[in-house]
Formats: sequence, C-alpha cells, structure tokens
Amino acid sequence: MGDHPLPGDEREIAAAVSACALMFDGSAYLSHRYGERGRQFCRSGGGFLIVTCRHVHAGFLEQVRWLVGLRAARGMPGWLLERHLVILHGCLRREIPAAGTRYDGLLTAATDLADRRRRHLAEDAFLAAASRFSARAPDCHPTLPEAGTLLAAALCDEAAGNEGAVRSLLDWLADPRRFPPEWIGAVHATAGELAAEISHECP
Amino acid sequence: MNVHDVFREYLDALVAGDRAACQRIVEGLLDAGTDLKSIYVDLFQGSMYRIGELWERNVISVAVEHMATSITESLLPLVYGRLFGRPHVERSALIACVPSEFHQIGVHIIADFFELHGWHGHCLGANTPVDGLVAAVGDMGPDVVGLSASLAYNLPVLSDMLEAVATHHPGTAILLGGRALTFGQGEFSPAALEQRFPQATYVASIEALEAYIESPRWRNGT
Ligand code: B12
Repeated sequence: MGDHPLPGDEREIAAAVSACALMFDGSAYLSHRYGERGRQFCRSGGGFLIVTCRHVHAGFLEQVRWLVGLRAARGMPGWLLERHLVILHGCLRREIPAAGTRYDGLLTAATDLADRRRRHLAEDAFLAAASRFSARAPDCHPTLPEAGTLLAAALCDEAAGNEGAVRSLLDWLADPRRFPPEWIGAVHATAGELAAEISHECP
Repeated sequence: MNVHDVFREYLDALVAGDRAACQRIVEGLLDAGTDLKSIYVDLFQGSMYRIGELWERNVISVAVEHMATSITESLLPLVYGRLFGRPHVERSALIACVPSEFHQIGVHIIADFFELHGWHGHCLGANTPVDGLVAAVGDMGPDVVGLSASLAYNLPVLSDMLEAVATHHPGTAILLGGRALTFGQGEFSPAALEQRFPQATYVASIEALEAYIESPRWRNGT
C-alpha cells in the first residue's frame, strides 16, 4: 500500500530522518532485523506521525493505536513506537524550537501507549525483563540488550488484542538459523515466565 | 443465491489472485438476480475491508492486497449492464476523492449507486485537485458533489476542498463520505463541518445515501 504522506515542512522531514537514525542506531534489533528498508519505513512512519499529529488532533490516539497493531504484527512491539514518539518529539523540538506545543500530541500518545502496556505488566517487571533475559543468556549476543524488553512488550501487545505480536517477534528472535540453542532456550524460558505475569484483563 | 453464501469462496479467490473465479462468482450472483446493493456493499466492500484487515495483521502481503484491489476494480464494470439500462431522471452527481487520497473504489461505487437510483453518476477518481474539481462542477453543473476521504490525515484537505466548492458553488449540495470521517473530531467532525458549511451533509452509510437520494428534496425536484 503506497507511501505515507511527507510532512510539508523541511524541518519536519529533517526531524523524521534524525529520529529514525536515533531509533535504528540505538537498537541492534531494529538495525539487524530490518536494515535499510526498515529505516525507510521508519522515516515514512515518522512522516505519518507528524502529519497526523499536526492535523488530526483528537483522533490522533486512535491512529497511533492502529499503527501499534500494524507494526506489532510485523515484529515491532508497541514499546518501540513509544520510544519513536518520544524521540521524534525531541527531534522536532530541536529542529523547530518555536513550535511550542504543536507536537505535544506525540508525547500524549507515547504516554497513552505506556499506560496501556502497564495494564498488562507492571512497570518494574517490564523494566526487569531485559536483565532477566540476559541472566539466562549471559554470553550470547550481548549486542541485543533489548531482547528481554521486546519479549515483554510483545506479550503486552498480544494481551491487548494485537494478534501475532509474539509470533512475529519470535520468528526472528528464536530463529534457529540465526541464534544458538542456548539463546533460543533463554528466549522461550523468559517468554514463558513473563507470560505467567501478564494480565489479560482490560480495566 | 445470496452474497453470504459465496463470500468465503470469493474472498479465498481474491486472496489467491484468481480473477476468473471471482468473475464467475459475480456473474453467478448477477444471473441469479441478486440485489445490486448487496453485491456492492456485502461483496465488493466487505471483501476489501477483509483484505485491509488481513494486510494490517500481516497475514497477506502488500502484493496480494494490490492484486485484490486490481481484481475488484476490474469486476466493477460487470454490474454496468444492469445499471445503465434503467430509466434515468435528469439529476447528476459528481463524486471525487480529495487530494492525496488514493482509495478510489468507494467513489466508483458511490457514483454507480447514483446510477442505480436513476441519476447520472460521474466519478473523478483518486487524488482530485481542488481547482480541477471546482472547474468540473462549473462545467458539468451537478446537483450533488460528493467528496471522499479514507485517511484521517486527509481530513484537513477535505475541509479545504469543501470550502473551495462551497465558496465557488454556493447553491450545490455537497455530500461527505469515507472512513476518515469516522475519525473526525473537533473542527473536522462531521457535525462541525456540516455546521460550517450548511450545504454539506455527511453520509455515514449506503442506507443513509439511499434515504438522501429518495428524500422529498430530490423526488419533488426542489
Ligand atoms: C485497497 C486499499 C488501498 C489501495 C487503494 C487503491 C484503489 N485503487 O482504491 C492503495 C494500495 C493505493 C492503498 C494505499 C494506502 N493505504 Co489503503 N487500503 C485499501 C483497503 C484494503 C481497501 C479500500 C477499499 O477499496 N475499500 C472498499 C470501499 C468500497 O470502501 P470505502 O472506501 O470505505 O467506501 C465506502 C464508504 O466509506 C462510503 N464512501 C466512501 N467515499 C464516499 C464518498 C461519499 C460522497 C459518500 C456518500 C460515501 C462514501 O461508501 C463506499 C461504499 O460503501 C483499505 C481497507 C478498508 N477498510 O477500506 C485500506 C486502508 C484504508 N489503507 C490504509 C493505509 C494505511 C494505506 C496507506 C497509508 C499505506 C501505506 N503505508 O502506504 C496508503 C495511503 C495511500 C493514500 N494516500 O491514499 C489503512 C488506513 C488506516 C488508517 N490509519 O486510517 C486501511 C484501513 C488498511 C488497514 N486495515 O489498516 N490502500
């Protein structure tokens, strides 16, 4: 399906590009799994977020929740979008200092996503997921420090009704052609342990 | 035979890219005298909505989605034999997508739907420039102009286009439709747009469109 719209303002485009550079440079998972094509999608996703936030105001949250589902089904848990929204907001503030509150909808949406995630897993358990995983897989792949967090985030997405969130993450994270058996064992064990703590109730 | 009986088979053929099978199903429905409204809404629209959900959930690829779209577009004319032979009234509607809106199956169906009700239904398709639409309304003088937006981020351009048509053609009735309006809030909510432009009416469903076309305003020729 075609491309998302480009923001009209060059500074917004610059912000979308630098936000994706920060996202990808700061995530071994994103850059290993999605590479250059992923960066392009990330940039057009940033364009979508900027244009929608700027123009759609009150309907923006609904659009962001739709994007969570779309990305979660492709192995990108909603927590990554939370980060993207915050980073994008920071990049826009840097590019356009006079913007005032114009892009604050991005932060509101990030908070909304975090609140939704916390309905399914308490924040301390979520934050501990990364170390939980690395304790099980101490020596393999130190380059994927966010693996445990991604598992926790995908489980929250799935519990929120985003079908395929866990499977699409595991397709890569537990792929025997890519990772050694100890790693895959650690992935499944951590996922199992976290799954037991996930609340499926929707308050 | 009704659409419900063949929907699953049709959707499977659409996903498989089997145009011939889809065509056979549509022809079968037409031969059986199935209500055209049901073919448009339950079959064409219903299957494309399912295609959208399957793409969203990453069950089908973007290529399959494109193929399904092109098959659907190629099947719409099968209905024409039953559309254009009907008696017509001297009323016309001009339907267009707003700029940067590429979802055009809906506007084709809406134009056809006017034909089904005896009007002349003209469709300008996707991504219609504002100036072009304003000029076409001047040239063709339709009774009704229909504007369509599917994507929420196109609501501001819908509002701009509405303003342009309303300013240049204050006597022309304008209909607003498409899924974007279900997301419209604040200044872009259907109610706010209708209030700002009293000649505009938001049409939320095919049933509402039928009621609009059949309303005394158009039946009595005022
Ligand atoms: C086919 C399709 C495309 C095709 C369209 C090609 C074409 N020739 O039309 C292409 C590939 C171009 C496309 C592109 C994109 N698409 Co698309 N697409 C679809 C899909 C699967 C079907 C659309 C369709 O034909 N529906 C059937 C028609 C009959 O229904 P309809 O349009 O709603 O029209 C009916 C009513 O709304 C109403 N109506 C409509 N207009 C009007 C006007 C008037 C006056 C009246 C009275 C009534 C009325 O009556 C119609 C008949 O009942 C939808 C899924 C969906 N739920 O619609 C996604 C969908 C709309 N697309 C989507 C997206 C995200 C995109 C892209 C942004 C993807 C991307 N990342 O690049 C681009 C944007 C392109 C653009 N700028 O427009 C999302 C939108 C989600 C959102 N957040 O809003 C959807 C919902 C898919 C999904 N489930 O996520 N897409």
